[in-house]
Amino acid sequence: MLELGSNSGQVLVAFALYLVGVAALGIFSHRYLRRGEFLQEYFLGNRGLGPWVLALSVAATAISGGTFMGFPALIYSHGWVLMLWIASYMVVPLTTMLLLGRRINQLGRLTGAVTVPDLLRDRFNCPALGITAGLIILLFLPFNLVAQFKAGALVMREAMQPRPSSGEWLGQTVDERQHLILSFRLSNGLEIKQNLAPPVAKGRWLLEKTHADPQARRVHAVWHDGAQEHAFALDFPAPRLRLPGFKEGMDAGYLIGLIIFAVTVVGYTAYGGFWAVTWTDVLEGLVMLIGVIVMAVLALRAVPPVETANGTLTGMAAATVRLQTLDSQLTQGPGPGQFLPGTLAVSFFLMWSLMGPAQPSTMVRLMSFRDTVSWRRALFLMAIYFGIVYVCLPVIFVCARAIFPTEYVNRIGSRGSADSIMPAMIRYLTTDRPWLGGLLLAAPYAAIMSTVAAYLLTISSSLVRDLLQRSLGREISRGVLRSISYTTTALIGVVVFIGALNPPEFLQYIIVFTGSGLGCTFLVPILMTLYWRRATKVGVLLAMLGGFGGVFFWYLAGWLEGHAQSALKLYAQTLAHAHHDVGVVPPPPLWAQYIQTYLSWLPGWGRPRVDRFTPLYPFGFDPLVCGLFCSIVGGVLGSLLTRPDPELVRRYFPD
Amino acid sequence: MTPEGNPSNLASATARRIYTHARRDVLLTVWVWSVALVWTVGYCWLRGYAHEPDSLWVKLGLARTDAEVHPLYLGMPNWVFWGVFLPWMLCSCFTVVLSFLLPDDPLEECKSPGNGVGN
Repeated sequence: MLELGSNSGQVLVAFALYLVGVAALGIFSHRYLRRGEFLQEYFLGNRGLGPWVLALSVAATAISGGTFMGFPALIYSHGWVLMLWIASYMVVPLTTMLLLGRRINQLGRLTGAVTVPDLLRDRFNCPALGITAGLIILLFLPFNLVAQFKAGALVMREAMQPRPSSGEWLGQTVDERQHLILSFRLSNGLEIKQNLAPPVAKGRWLLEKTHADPQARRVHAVWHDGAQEHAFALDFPAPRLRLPGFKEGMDAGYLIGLIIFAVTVVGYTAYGGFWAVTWTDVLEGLVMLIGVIVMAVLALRAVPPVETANGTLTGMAAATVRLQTLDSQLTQGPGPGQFLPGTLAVSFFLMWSLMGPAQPSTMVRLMSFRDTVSWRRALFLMAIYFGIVYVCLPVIFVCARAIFPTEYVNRIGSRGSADSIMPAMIRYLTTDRPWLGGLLLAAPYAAIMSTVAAYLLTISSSLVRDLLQRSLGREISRGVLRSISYTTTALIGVVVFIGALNPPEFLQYIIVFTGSGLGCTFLVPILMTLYWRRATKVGVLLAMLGGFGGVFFWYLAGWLEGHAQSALKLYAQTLAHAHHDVGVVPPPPLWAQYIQTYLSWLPGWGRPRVDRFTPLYPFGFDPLVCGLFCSIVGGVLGSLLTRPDPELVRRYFPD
Repeated sequence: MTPEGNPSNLASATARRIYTHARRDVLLTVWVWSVALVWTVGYCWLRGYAHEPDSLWVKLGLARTDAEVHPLYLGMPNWVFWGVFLPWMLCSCFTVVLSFLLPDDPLEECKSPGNGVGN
């Protein structure tokens, strides 16, 4: 069914070794669950995290598919300005460990909380807070998980490198946008169309010179840039399976990759619980660290040297000079396509430094460290870890852009999507050492697995602990809780798997959306809960809803604007065709016109955006700035207008 | 029993100490975070972005009409080195030193009064 690439055997063996290690840790963790109280152990590790586990677990959870797939794609496309985009990771060890660490651990122990909603509920003795927090977690995290599952499946597909499908080339045409449309009939009878934009804006495909080589399963196309002709080779479509509901079938490599990813990650998370997740985080964190260091060395050596008047430049300097020659915007702000104006630079500084620590999965880890010695050592390890990983990643992908100066990454093994630059670069750098390629591919896979596992556990803890056990208000036996916990974790994995069968196209924006949404929902309420005696349950609830609403509103407005503009554009095209052909004028899309008329006053409306999933940027800022503002205002006003319970203040604040 | 020997007083003293240390941690974080924000975004915006010749920042001599890419340091554009890489290294060094200086607290002495921890 699936023919693998020539080097895939060694890649897959190396990859399998890593997966065996992960599975072994999952089984070992399960034995730990036999001790102590089940929920404390399954969701919180019985507050016993040591320094290595804490540091690598927090780091591995923060570093996700976005870091290893989406972020490299952005560096590759926009160059050095991404160093500024990511710069606030320099203070993330401090904002994560120091801002909340000591106090949230103390309060977690005093309240006996197992989850973040638990903590809010107990600190204010208010079930509504716990339920609201649990529901918001349940709303955001599945989005993120679908994106992570997609990333995991893409890495696995890249490891397998399936050969293009055998079949028949039916012909070619060019549409009104000058895109080349290639038609194929695959060996299983499916008819597939592939759409290819011209490599440069004013490029033109030369249809008469396009021909196929069925033996090599490749189409050779020719395009003209106005001055000369260029050859372009494109593989036949990837093997596809017939599936109900999928008109053009499903990419077999992606589906198999998705199944392997889902079975391993859901399996060890459900079976081993918190200990499995944190111990595999350690393995995954180390794999990531070694992976990026080895890749950075290989990438620096692979950059072609540049001759200058002052001598020969190699490595990083050669890469930077090559980027500057290619497009001066790649070496300065705001980057190509106005990627990072000053307002967004401020927004992203807030994003990584403040939103990361406020993720429920991070806060749970801070509630579970063993003692302050472990916490201090974890701070030390995190500073070193983030310094290495986030300096190496820009180095690798600036080099990638210097090595492959066009956006067309299909030539180095991926399917042409910038999101695949990480695995594609690994394949390129390890062409003569495929086993090393397998081990390096484990790095992005590890990043995705660790995040997925942490989020799966956060969701199931919200369901089991916050919504089921605490809300029912009665004791549930250990055996029943155990069965419910295993089943819930596995079921969520299945639901996300189904969502990932037909995933959204863009990875990084979904991750930014869920990260900023959860961060704005929890940062201010948790700070109030931990440090402000005057905080009340009404204030915390308003802070939570204000943060959530302040972010969600701008994303919703962005989606509405994107869909309304698409509908109106399509209508304009239909109108033009109707005018030329038969003269029948279809009715305009009224909903799109209403939206355009009544919402166009919103700041940021009508401004160019990278894709339809991005939000509106009010006054040039990311929605998180609005979310934080609404959260602070709601929290302060709500608290000042109501009175705190003196008994609770006495219990949780020293005199 | 002396007041110091009273378990509830001891718990209260420990809780107060942890709370005081935690508040100090917050102040320190806010201070470092603010300096990093102003330095990083401020420097990169002034030196890594091209500005209009008649902008106030250019007239004050703080910004330039073109980005400061050369001379390269460690192969990075000049503005990346001074605006991101150097503060990053300083922050990391500060964090490492701080991890040895932060006071320890007996967190394990904080106990839940038994209010419904799960099975």
